[in-house]
Parts: sequence; structure tokens; C-alpha cells
Amino acid sequence: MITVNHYIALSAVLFVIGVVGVLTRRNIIIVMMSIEIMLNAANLLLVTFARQSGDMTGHVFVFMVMAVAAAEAARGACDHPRVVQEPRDGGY
Amino acid sequence: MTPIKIPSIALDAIGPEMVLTATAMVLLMIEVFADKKGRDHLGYIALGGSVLAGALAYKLSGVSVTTFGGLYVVDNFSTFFKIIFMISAGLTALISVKYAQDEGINHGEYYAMILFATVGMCVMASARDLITIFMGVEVMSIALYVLAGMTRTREVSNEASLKYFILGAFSSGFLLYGMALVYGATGTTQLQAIGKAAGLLTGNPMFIAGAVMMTIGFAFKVAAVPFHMWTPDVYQGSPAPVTAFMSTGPKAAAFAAFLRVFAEAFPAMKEDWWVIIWSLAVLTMTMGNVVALVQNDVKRMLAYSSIAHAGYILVGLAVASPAGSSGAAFYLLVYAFMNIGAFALLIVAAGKGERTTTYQDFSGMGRRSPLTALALTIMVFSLAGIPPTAGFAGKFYLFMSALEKGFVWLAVIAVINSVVSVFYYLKLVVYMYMRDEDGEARPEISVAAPLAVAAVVTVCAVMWLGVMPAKYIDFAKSAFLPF
Repeated sequence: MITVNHYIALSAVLFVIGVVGVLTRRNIIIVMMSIEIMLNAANLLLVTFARQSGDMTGHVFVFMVMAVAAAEAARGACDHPRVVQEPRDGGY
Repeated sequence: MTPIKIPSIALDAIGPEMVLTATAMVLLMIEVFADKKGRDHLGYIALGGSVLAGALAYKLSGVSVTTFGGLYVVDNFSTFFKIIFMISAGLTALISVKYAQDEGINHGEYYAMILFATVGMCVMASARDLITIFMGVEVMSIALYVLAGMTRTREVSNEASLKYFILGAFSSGFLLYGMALVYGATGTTQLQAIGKAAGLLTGNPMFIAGAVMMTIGFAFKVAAVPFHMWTPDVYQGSPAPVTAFMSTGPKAAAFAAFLRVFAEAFPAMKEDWWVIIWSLAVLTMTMGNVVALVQNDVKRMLAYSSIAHAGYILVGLAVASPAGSSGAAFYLLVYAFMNIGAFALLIVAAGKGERTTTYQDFSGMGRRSPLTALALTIMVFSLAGIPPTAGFAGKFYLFMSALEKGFVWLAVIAVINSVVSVFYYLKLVVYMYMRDEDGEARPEISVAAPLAVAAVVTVCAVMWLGVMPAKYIDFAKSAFLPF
């Protein structure tokens, strides 16, 4: 039988994986993936509590977080090639 | 089938936000259709939008409504902060005009991003629900990540943008996880409902963990030590007007959300959390001031000084009283003027490409450009808190609130820190007036009209708020939060 506590534990493990990933990895793509894991750990927690109490607010919150995560990913994706590329004007 | 109940929506209460959004969209359209010459007006349109939004916000003073089904509140507290945001956005647009043309970033999206970030800040100040707070934080932050990297050809700017993005998203993760835990413990995202439920939850580990993680998230956003690592590099690498903006408006917004969350959602924890905020305040101001002492670059010095000022403002939070919250609000208003003023003059001195920003580069400024040197002197006097400038009035009112509540040691440490800060601020004055030029070739100092206007406005504001603060302190007092 899977209880609420199992979900909370899973979400805590995911969050810690995300934090450790951001702090230890040097690859920018993996760091961004770790941030996504952190956000999704929080999403899992929100959905768990929403299901537990039969309250819709948590579900709405998750949709908002997904929209934000998409915007952040888009911003991260446009940053990556720019940092790797040599500045065109030579830079200062 | 039961009809869906639609909550009442008071559109007149969100006038400032609507004006800002509309102006930002107009700017984006102008970017598409205007030629290069037409784009010279972009900054003034952004300034006009902020002034109009600020006037609308001012008209709402005294109004107190909760709308959008309890998600959004307009009260004196949010109105006061919105006026700070509009001042910050408007002055930033003004000091950007010349800079953007020189650096080749004079595009509609630059000004639009400033205004979109300001909308996010307004949402943060007015939010009365965890969902709205999170959305406000993200709307503001994502626009700021882009702004930090606006000067695409400068490597430091790219680095600043990436660093800000990674650490900003990281701190958002903490904030969100804390919100999820608080939601789980209380079953609601409404701040006041959380406050009611929290009374029965003292000692609940999930609730405490959530509150602590939210504190970490906010501490990142206000750049409190030990969560300040991103600040010096980001502030130094970003274009100077963007740094001026980031250190005033968004910082005020983070403090506004921080204050409202702790006043309305966690009043039951007041006995415990002042210890945390007390330590954060002492660490932040001491670290910021001590490291600022040894800086050689004026822009980086201002970044550390901005950390130190966040420490002073945290004093107002640690006190957790109506006087403390209005003291913090008034100080943030003063800080918006003096810091943007200092950055406006830094832009004048730094020249194209921000190449000359060390203390050495300011030597002989008193002779080369007496008025610039004089204005910068007034700004650093105010930042140091020397009367009769606004910085003194702000610090006086803020530290008094600590004394009233019996936080004598906190006030003493804050005053000692202000004394320490006088050293590195006056060092700049010493270089400007008492050092001769070292013979190195530096670009001719020419003050463009918009920068001159911004400098005059900030100097007048700093002097006026310093000499006649009573009326504005009264306004700040009406913007308190019930702790």
C-alpha cells in the first residue's frame, strides 16, 4: 500500500538529487536538468497534498509551476550557445 | 449543474500593472516598425509609462481592497512599494537612454524587459497567496536574467546572466519546495488562512521546514549573507543601468514579499524567527561592509555596499513591528534614489564600454568635471548616512525602530557598520578631490542630457528627503503591516 508518506519521501529524495546536481556538476545542461528535478519534486509534493485533502489549489499551482519551468527552460536554452560561442565583435 | 462562481475582479485596483504591461507591448511593437532614429525615443516612452503607472499607484493610496478571489490585495503597503518600483523603473529608463545607444542595446525589448520585471515586482508586493507570490517572483526574475545579459558582446555580461539564471532558478526551487511544504501542513495557499492554521501547528516539522526553506529562497533574492555568492559577479558584469535597477527595485520587491509572508502567514513563529533574521542581518551588513573595504573597482564596491544595505533593511524585518516594516519601506525608497543616482554618475565616469571604473579612474575628477564630482559626493554621503542627506534620515528611522523594541545590540552593530562604510565611500571622495590625475589617458567626461536630468532629480530627492522627511515618513508609517 502506497501512502502519502511514500510520496513525500520520494519528493524529498528527488529534491536532494536536484540540489546535489546543481552544486556538484559542471556541465550547464546537467545543472539545468537538476533545477528541473527540484521544481518537479515540489510539483509532486503539491499534487500529493492536493489529492490528500481533495483541494484543487495544489493542482492549479502545479500548472503555474509548469508554465514557469517552460519559460525558464526557454531562457536557459537561448543562453547556452551564446556563452559557448566566441563573441562576434571580439568583445572587450 | 451548478454554475461556476466567478470571483469579483476589481480592475481599477490593478491600473498600474495594466499600464506597465501595455507600455511594454507598445515598446515591442515600436521595435518592429520604427527605424533607427525612431528608437531613440524608446527610453522616454518607458519613462512615461512608469510615471503614469506611478501616478495611478499614488492615486490608490488609502484604498484597501482584496480582489481576484483573495489572490491580490491593494493596500497602503503595496502602494508604497509600487511607488518605489516605478521610481526605480523610470530612473533606470532615463539613465539607460545614452548608455543603450552607446552600447548598441537600444532595442524595444530592453525597455520592455524593465517594465515586465516591474509588473512582476508589483505582483510580489500585492500578492496575498503563495501562487501569486511565486508567479510574481518568476515574472520579475526571468526578465532580469535577460536584462543581465543584454550586452551580448561583453563576456562578463554573459557570465553574469548565466550565473544569475542558475542561482536564481536554484533559489526559486527552494522557495517553491518551501511553499509546497507549507501548503501540505496547512492545506491552503492563502496567506491569512495559513496564519490562522499556523497557530495550531507550532512544532509541526513539515511546517517549520517549509517556513525555513521559504526564508532561504527569499534570502537568496535579497542577497543576504550567506546566500549572496551570486551578487558581486552579477552586479559587476551586468550593464550599469541594469545593476542600478536590480539593486533597487527587485530588492525592494523581494523585501515586500518577505515582509508580507512573515507578517500575515507566520506571525505565530515570531518568537523563533527573529533569531534567524537577526543573525542574517548582522552577517549581511558586516560581510558586505568588510569586503567592500578592500575593493579596487567602484562598481564592485557598490555591489558589496548593496549587500550591506540589505543587511540594514533586514534590521527592520528582525524587529518585526509596524515601525520596523515601515522603516524598511522608507529606507528602500531612499536607497532607490541614492543608488540609482550613484550609478548614473558611475555611467558618466565609466565612459563607453565601462572601461574606467576603478578608484584610480576617479582621481582628479573634482577638476575634470566639478559638477559630476559634486553630485557623486552627495550620493556617497547619503549612502554612508551622513546628515543632512536622505541616507541619514532613513538609517535613523530604521535603527530607532530597533531601539524601541529593545534590540539595542542590533542597533549598535548597525551603527558600527555604518561607520565602517564611511571609509570606503569617502575613499572615493578623496580620490576625486585630493588625488591628481596619474597622467593616463581617460575618455573626456561628457554628461548626456538624460543622465544630467537623472542626476539632478536624484540629488534633489536625496536632499529633500533628508531635510524634510516627516511627510514621507508619515506616508511610510501608514504603509505598515500588522505584526
